[in-house]
Amino acid sequence: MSSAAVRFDRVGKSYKYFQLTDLSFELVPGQIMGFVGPNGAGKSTTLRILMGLVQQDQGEVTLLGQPMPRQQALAKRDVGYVSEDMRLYSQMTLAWHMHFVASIYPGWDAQYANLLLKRFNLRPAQTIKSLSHGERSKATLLLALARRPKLLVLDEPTTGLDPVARHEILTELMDVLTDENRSILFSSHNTKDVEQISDVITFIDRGTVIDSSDKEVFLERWCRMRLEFPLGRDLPALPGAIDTAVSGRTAVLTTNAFTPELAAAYEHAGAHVQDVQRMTLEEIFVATVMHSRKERGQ
Amino acid sequence: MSRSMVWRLIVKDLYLYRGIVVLATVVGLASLVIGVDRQEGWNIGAILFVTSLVALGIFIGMYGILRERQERSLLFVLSLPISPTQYAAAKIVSALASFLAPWLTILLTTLVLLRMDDGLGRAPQILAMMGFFLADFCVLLALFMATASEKWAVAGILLTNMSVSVYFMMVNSLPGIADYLGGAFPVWTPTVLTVIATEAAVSIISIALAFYLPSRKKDFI
Repeated sequence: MSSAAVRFDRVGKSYKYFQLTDLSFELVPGQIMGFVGPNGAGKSTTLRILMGLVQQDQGEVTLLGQPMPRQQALAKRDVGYVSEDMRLYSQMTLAWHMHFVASIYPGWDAQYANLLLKRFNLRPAQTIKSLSHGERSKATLLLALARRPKLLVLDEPTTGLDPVARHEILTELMDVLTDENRSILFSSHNTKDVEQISDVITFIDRGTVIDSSDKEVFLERWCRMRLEFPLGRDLPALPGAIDTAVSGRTAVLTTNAFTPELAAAYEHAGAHVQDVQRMTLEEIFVATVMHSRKERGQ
Repeated sequence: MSRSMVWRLIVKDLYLYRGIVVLATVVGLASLVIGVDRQEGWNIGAILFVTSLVALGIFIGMYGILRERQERSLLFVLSLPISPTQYAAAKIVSALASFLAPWLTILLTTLVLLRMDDGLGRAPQILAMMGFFLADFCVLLALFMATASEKWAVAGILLTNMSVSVYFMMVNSLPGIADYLGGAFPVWTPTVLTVIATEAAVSIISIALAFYLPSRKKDFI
């Protein structure tokens, strides 16, 4: 039995106009993984495969040690899943939903649920149809969090929310991680949210995982170097250059393998390193996607 | 937990359907009271009688199954510790229970009223007619379980509704059924037994398909 909270091993799924190819990644207990990709990259399909809602054509998926989709009823006992397009029963009240979910999960924490009601400013007597979009998102998250699941699977949970509602939800998610055995797999195309709460980041584009690493490693190894090189000499070709923009004797080089040794190597080759700029996660994401598409000839 | 989960989903659906189940039962019973008057009341009673059962079947399919998919509350239910096959089982059982409760109440009340009126000669015709409504509902249930398409659902509703007219025009007036309506005792002719057996077979096959077709799906959302 795998000790990973989530494990994808060479998973594939084909549709008429889209396919997931050879998807492999792992989430260990206690981690928050940000699953980042552009619209249509395959994030929701991946999470639906994980939850047993869509069956993969190839490969193995393990959820909390259980093979999916075969043992989904067992695995989902300890999972809270919230998706941006998930809806509760519009005619029923939040209190009815809380009672329904509490009757299913023995670990339902009524005290925590009441605390979340206050923090999210929700009224249990309200019907779901009378809630705003932000309130509905918070209500769905409340129903997932109060079961105290070992794993939270969140598919774009902050999409369409105002900054205050987003902040409330992200703060609550960070609170969850005070218990080091609990994990979160969080898909989004909003890199700011992901940067705020994730330990590990996996980039997906056009159905393929294109990079996966610790957030700090991403932020450390990606940077832009401004180089000046002598007249009549070309910029030395060294490994790690993802993109180079040359203007006169100055070049701006984007690298995903920055180390002080790389800067020293450029100096040694005759270039002068004028400046090294760290990149934001959004810049890293865009550069990774564009580089990957170029490499794959897309 | 899985068995109790199926049970909880059934209870949840019965709770959600409670309004329409009670309404269909009340309208069905009211139609019997109105229909006792053999003059003007008969036609109104007959229309209400048919409407209560047909509308109940459509409501359960549209509201309970199709709308759950369209409004994405299915995603919420399937996030719970249950497999799609168990979900389908819960859906079929709750839909059947919600239909059978008013159906049985109306059927038994009708038989009691016929008995009180020394009109049990109509019992085979009533049973065949109620069997038809049940079979009609089971066909609709299988269709709603198999498809997420609104077009197919509407086509199914139209076809089953049209079949009600066909039934009343053709089957209800068959000699083996229509010839014995005035008696005080039921006469179980081969014609009426064949009709009832066919309806039972259609119901059973439809329910089997309602279980089988969703189990072949690979994608549930």
